Amino acid sequence: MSPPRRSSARKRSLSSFVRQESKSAPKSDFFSVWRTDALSRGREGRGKWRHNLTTTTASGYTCANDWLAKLMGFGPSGTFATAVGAATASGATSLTNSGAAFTTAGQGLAGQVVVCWISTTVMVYGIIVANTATVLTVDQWYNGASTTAAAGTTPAATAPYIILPFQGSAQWMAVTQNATAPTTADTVLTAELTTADWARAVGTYAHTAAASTYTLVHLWTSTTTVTINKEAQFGACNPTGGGVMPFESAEPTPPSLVSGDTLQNTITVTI
Amino acid sequence: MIVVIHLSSFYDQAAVPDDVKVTPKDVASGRVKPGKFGGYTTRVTRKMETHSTVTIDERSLVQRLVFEVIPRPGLRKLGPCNRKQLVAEFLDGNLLPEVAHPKHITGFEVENDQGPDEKLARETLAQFVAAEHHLTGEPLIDPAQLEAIIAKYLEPYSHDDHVDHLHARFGVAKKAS
Repeated sequence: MSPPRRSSARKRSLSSFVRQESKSAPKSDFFSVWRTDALSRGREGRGKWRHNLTTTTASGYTCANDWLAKLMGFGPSGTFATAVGAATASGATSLTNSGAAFTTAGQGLAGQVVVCWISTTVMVYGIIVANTATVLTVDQWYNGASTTAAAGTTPAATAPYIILPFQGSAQWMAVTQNATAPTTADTVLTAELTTADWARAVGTYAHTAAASTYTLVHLWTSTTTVTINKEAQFGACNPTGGGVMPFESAEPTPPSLVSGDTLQNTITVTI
Repeated sequence: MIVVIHLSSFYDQAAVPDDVKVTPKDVASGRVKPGKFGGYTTRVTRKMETHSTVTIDERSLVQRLVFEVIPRPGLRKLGPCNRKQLVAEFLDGNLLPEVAHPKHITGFEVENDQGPDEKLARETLAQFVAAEHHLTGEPLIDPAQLEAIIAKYLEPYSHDDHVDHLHARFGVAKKAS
């Protein structure tokens, strides 16, 4: 067997690399690429694949690295007794247990899922976006049987609940006309579009068993003239709730759309 | 709705090694995607019996319906179509290019189909009845056509009809159960 060939290019020592890398911001091998196609323009409207920015230095719970660790690992909800209990008050975006001791350290319970009992056959869930020791704030109460992640019934003031021990997914897709360059520290999509035609939407998810990627796809058709400059992926249903924003992407050639134009966004996430 | 696509091969992404030349044409054509740290990944076809699980949000189907019914000169459109057609068109046009070549499909299963969402369809289509074409000022969807579009979307079908339609649409022989 012949010995491995040595590269003619001069290489750094491992120690040199470690010293240099220690000074830079955290990076993640987990990444995504995004493509935007203006379907109403045929092949002319087909976009190029572009790299998405991963929010690896965002403060708070919207940081992609923190979300991924808690999604794949184990969040803090299994470490306190009141992860399961009964509410003492409820609202359209909140659940209170006055006797609870919800963890607030670090990022608290943000990003986790709380499930509430409505009846023997109906339950709703919410994505926790903030919490105190006794109050959970959620983006909305979801109808667990809805294919569009539609809103469900607000739980009764004494509803039983459980906080599940992992993070909610980030399947919501959103767009903006704002052209400010994204950074890894971003926590929101500035001036996110919220009109009915461009509101956050759940992407259609596809994953092939054994493949190293998964895909999210959504179509938007505009009712006005807009120029889409950035897109992002979120873990909550609306900008008020916010939600984890693991990926943000700037359009290299922002598509300008007129009323009736359809845009397809495709995200491929490499695991 | 969950559609499980059975496959004999599937698309995956592989990192392009440093000794492989990537041309601007490769980038422009979408043959390569940017990698994490400056390199590229490229689509490869892996031969393996597997399946792809597709979770279709009803809003995606309604958006596909909007795409099909807004007239656009020069583009092939179905016009009013039923949900079976919408699922097939969405898979073929919007999703499969990232999943597998149609010739690799060996079968379909459909699960948890909760049927059409009339409220969502009416709310969504109403936006485009109210919206005006940017040049002509006419409604993007003719109000006189609205009920026909809704009726077609709501057209009933059986689970077996749906599965048969997908097999027929992609030219796949349905396996005897």
